[in-house]
Amino acid sequence: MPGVRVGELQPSDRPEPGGSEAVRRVLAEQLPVLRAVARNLVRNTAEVEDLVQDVFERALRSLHRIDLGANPRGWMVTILHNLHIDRCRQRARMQAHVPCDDVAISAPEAGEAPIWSAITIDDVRRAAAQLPDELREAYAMFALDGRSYIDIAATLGIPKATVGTRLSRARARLKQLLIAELEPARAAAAEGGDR
Amino acid sequence: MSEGCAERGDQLAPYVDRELDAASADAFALHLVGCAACRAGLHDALQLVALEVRASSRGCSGA
Repeated sequence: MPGVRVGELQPSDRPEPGGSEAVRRVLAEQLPVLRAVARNLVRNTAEVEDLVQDVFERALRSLHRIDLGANPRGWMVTILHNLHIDRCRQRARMQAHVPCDDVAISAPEAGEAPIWSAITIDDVRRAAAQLPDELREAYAMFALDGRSYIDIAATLGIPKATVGTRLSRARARLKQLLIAELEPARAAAAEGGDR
Repeated sequence: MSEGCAERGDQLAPYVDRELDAASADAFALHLVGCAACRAGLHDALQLVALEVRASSRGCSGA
């Protein structure tokens, strides 16, 4: 079914269990991105493929949770995150003395996924421009220019560990900036929809 | 995220960016199980990574 794109699905495409061909195609379009994200979490190709396949299957089983008119990227990344945490939890249970939260992780915690699906890389760039200088330069070098931690550390004359600290803080601040930017629009849309 | 976990929040980016050695990454993965702040931070970081991947593979055309 060529030509079906993210955002073009209709409620009538909501499939029976297993997914319609259109839904499966739209979800499958996200697999390259999911594969790239999964490579950040697991270390070998087989594990990456297992994780991505699990995301795809979980997504097909959870279609009742998704807005078929929206980009499923954020939703599927959330599923990937939750599956990764599930796997960490399984490993923790095999080891003694590791505290575990009692929170059930396996069910999708997808509350913020719609927000992420609405965010574009242009939104991220605009938000990044508002970061404090030392966070902005580290984030831009790594995420936007593709430079390594070691390269950034050498350029800025800081320890490699400090690069990690700055990137951790930059991403935390970016989330705050992006949500602050999008929430008013979402609230206005919701209010309009209630009328 | 990093502001939410004083113990290991600053390791979130090195974990996501594969900059921790294997032992440190394993330790952080176990920490995630018991730390809601780091789990939330990881979720946000992965969402950003997904956007960055799309930008690099599609000529910054957005999501």
